[in-house]
Amino acid sequence: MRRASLLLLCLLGVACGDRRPATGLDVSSALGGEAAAGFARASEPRRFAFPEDHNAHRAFRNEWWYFTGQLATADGEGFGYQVTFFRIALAPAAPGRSSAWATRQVWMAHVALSAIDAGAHWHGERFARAALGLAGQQARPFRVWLEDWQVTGGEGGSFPWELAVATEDFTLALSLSPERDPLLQGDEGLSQKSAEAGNASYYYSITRLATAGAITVGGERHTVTGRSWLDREWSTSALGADQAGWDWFSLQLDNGADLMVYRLRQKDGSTDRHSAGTLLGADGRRQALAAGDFQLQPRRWWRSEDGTRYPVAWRLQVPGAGLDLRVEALLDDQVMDTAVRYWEGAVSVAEADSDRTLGRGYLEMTGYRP
Amino acid sequence: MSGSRLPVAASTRFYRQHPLQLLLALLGISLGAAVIVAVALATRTAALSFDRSLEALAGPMTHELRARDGALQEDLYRRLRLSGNPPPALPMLEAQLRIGDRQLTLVGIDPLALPPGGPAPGAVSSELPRLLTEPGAVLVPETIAAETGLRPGRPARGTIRERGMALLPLALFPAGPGDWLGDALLADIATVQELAGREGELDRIQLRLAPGEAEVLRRALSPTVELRRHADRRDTFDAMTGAFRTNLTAMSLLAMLVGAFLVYNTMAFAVVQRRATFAVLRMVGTTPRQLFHRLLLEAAALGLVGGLLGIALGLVLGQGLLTLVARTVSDLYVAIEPTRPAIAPSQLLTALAVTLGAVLAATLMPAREAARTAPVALEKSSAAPGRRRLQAAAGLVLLAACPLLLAVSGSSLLAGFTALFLLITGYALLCPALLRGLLAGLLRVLPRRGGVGPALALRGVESALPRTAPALTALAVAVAATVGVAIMIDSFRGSVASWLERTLQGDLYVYLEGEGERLAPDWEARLAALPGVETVAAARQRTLRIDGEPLRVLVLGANAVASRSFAIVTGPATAAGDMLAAGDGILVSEPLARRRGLTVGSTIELATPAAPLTLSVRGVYRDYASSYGAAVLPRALYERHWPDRELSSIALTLAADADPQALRRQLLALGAARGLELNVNSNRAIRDHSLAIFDRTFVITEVLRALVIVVAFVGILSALMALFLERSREFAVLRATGMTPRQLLGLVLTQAGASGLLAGLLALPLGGLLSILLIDVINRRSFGWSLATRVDPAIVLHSLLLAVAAAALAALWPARRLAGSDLRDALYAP
Repeated sequence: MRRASLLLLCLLGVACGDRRPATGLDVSSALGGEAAAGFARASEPRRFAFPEDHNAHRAFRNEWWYFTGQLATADGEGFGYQVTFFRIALAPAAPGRSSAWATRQVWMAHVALSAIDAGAHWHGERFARAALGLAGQQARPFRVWLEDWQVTGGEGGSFPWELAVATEDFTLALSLSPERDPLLQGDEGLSQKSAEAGNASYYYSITRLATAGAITVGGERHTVTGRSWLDREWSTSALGADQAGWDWFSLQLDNGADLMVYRLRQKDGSTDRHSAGTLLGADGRRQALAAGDFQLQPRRWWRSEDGTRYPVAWRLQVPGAGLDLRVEALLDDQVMDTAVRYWEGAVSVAEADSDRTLGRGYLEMTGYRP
Repeated sequence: MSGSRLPVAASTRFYRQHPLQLLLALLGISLGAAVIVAVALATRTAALSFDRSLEALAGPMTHELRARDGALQEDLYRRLRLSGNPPPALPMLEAQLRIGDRQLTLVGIDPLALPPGGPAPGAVSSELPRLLTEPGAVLVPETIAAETGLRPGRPARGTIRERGMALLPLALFPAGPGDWLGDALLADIATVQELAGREGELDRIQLRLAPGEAEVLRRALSPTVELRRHADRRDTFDAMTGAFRTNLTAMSLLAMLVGAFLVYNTMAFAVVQRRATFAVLRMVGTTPRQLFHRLLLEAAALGLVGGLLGIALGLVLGQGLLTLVARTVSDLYVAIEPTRPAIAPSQLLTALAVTLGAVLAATLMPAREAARTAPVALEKSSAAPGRRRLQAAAGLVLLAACPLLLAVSGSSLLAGFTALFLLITGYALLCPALLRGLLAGLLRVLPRRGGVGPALALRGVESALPRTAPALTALAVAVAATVGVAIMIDSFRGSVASWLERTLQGDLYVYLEGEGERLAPDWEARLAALPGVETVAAARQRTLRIDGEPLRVLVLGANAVASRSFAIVTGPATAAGDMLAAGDGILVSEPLARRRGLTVGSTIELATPAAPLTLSVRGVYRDYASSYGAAVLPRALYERHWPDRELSSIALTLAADADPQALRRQLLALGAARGLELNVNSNRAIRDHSLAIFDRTFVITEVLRALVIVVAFVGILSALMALFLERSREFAVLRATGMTPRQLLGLVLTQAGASGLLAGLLALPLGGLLSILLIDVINRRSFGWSLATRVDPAIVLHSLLLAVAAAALAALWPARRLAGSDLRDALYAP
């Protein structure tokens, strides 16, 4: 869900507390306030088909390919990474135009690397139009790219997918192969985000992708292996007017289960009833979680440079599954200082009362303000 | 102790008794300083204005990619972006857009490529979806909206390259000239490509490169693309306007030089007048050293006060000059908008130091004289003949050094100015001797013709010479400067006028307003077909790279109009026609030839869209349009190597019976039918317009010249006034022996007029020499232009009148005072 909302926050200008002086492009206002008329809506369950659904769904306004993961070198040096491509349609239909620059689609990409042992976090952001080959998504061979940041697959989307990113600070060259089948989130892939019909997304995840490759940072190349999580989501509108932000968890447990939960926060601080989650057992059994099926309590707060307080340690309980977890940031400062500011980072998962390590994952928190 | 305090009291008393003297001395000093400060302020502000407009162009970017000729292909941008870890890069495409009668620039950018953290209009973000997706969508700076009436949401019509089109202003943004992307309409690059019919093309790509990245990028570029540092354009501006600014500085130094003479004159006079006081001081034990120091201190005080006053005055004066400088720079070089006046503290200090230095230097000689002379001799009169001879000899040496320096200094502008000042100083040193000689000659002639009056008057002038010589010299130098500058400007104007006559061979010229505006190629045939039109000659104005340097190049076809319009300075007189007919070779302008040492037979390398061409120079032509340099290419050659066929202007010659006015109206209507506002001007109108610009350019020179005269006038006023006041007793005797006040007034005015005439006569040879130096050395070395010298007799006459009038006017007040004064008081005055 998270990603939906991150983007929608951008789109709706909810999180546009842009505290920085004039920036080149203020995305939140750039992409805000567009009428949804003319775009397709996610209003009922649909049939998913793979690998076709790895490709773009251009009838919808927004869509993303969201990779996160934790990796480590042979001697245990730990890293977290995020690579995200957002497709944003500016208009439902493209009138015939003669310039090669003309387009109705723009792309945004966020990338980040957390070096857990070094205690450092770097990130990058780019925008480009879906024209001139600057950014886009193609099916054969599978490719999502924004300039030289890209994910490439085989003919028709076959794995492994190669992920390549280079910024001033770091480079990623990773190879990803799924260990599990795609998991349809929500109601058979229809993820309702607020009360209004159509305020929903189509949402699937691949919760475990075996990952191997190299990270270069500070001029040093590290060979790494680990596990990634892919979220794919497309929609036209999702958040309701009184929703302020969310806390989103994607956890890979050592016992083979994978857990995704998100809590939507109302503007008054309460938990929205559309908060939800899914527990995918090691045996492949899928258990949908409604807002009442899990509890989240902040355990520790961390204040970022701009004064925003983020809850970087949580107690997460899923009584129905017998889970009582302590989820804590591996690094307090994993703030994405991008056009829309949010916190996204690698977390550890432990048993709440014993602190016994149970797994790892990623946490995203949006809508927090100084 | 008393020995050092006494002179202070003496100084104070002297100036308290002669307040006018003090005032004039201060005025002279401060005017000199003011001119320096004003020129510094104006030139520095002009440079800063340029910097600002440059910054506005560059914004947060450091470099720019452009095609060496024509447009960039958009694929270059794609490749740049898709390369590993690309630098911030902003593609830009510009079009000249006409809305109503307003010519506007429309800039297309990729809003998504705006560098993070850089300044950009907020509307780019808030209107992004429509900006990208609606054809014709533009953002309008508020300033332009106010001028054009464009309103958000209200569709408007505009014209680009003769094509009408619909525009949709989405929003206004608060920006104006001086802001990055602030002085033009903004649109998405796709919109501008479509509106301008330039799909696939970019004008430039602005880049923000870290140190070192530029070199790496440059190596990867194709030879048709060039990478320029924004800061380099500043250097180009400096190079282009350097000569102009040097000339202004030279004029201000000239004013200072004349001011220094004035100071010298004042100080010398103050010493002469106080001889008796100094003698007494020496007798009561003041040492020569103390006296010398005291006088220098006095001068320093005067210099400091005068200098500070001058700075204040200069700051005011500079604002006025700034307007003139900015206009000249805009007329001749690049359009600049004067910003707030700015001057560096160091420049103020320099002006103060130069002033103090000049005052002290001018005081040195009189002070030494006063200090060295024995007490008794001090009471008597003036400079020993030996010293006079020494002074004259020094003058001769400086004059002789002048041609020597010019001979060995090649084309150094600094040496040219040094020679100028050697000439002035040498001549000034020689002036007293020349005055004496001139007077002696006159006196020898006069008495025989009878009449006591003139002889008496001249003898009075002669006896006063030791005291008036510095003032008369200052007047002579000032008048000479005006003569020299006047002859130079007059010759310059004459040369430009005859060059325009030669260049403008067509009867009517058709072109579009605005830099880079081009006419469709079919206009040539359309105009040729009009009844009454005898011939058409089309021209293309392009900026091409010659030996790696961007230069204005005129592309002309082989026709009589084009062939006739060049005055060849070096090479066969028919060089232009021969080259155009042959379709090979190149003509270079005189400044370019001089700057780059080109002559007939030299080869240059011309960058083309493909491989560079090597061309042979067929001739050097006279050109006053650019001091930077220009060239002429045959049309056939251009069309072999460049694809564009658009025209910059078309010259028409008319049949004898054609009616130019009717044809002009017909042409305007033809343009209007195509949505074009053509400019159709006669050769006369263009010539008059050009000369008007020329005259504007020299307004500032005229202003500075007038200031020099004012300084000199103050000098002569103070000298003559002091002189006549001192001679009150002598005049009283004349009155007592029966001269009427009227006769006395006549005598004084005659003496003053004669002094002025002497100064004027002395000024003429110096003025002539100065004009030669200005035309053949300074102008040639700074602009590369050769001028045909012409001397208007009126200039000579005016200068003589100026000198006489200045002197007579200066004498008027003291003369009236003398004539009306109480005889007894004057007779028994101490």
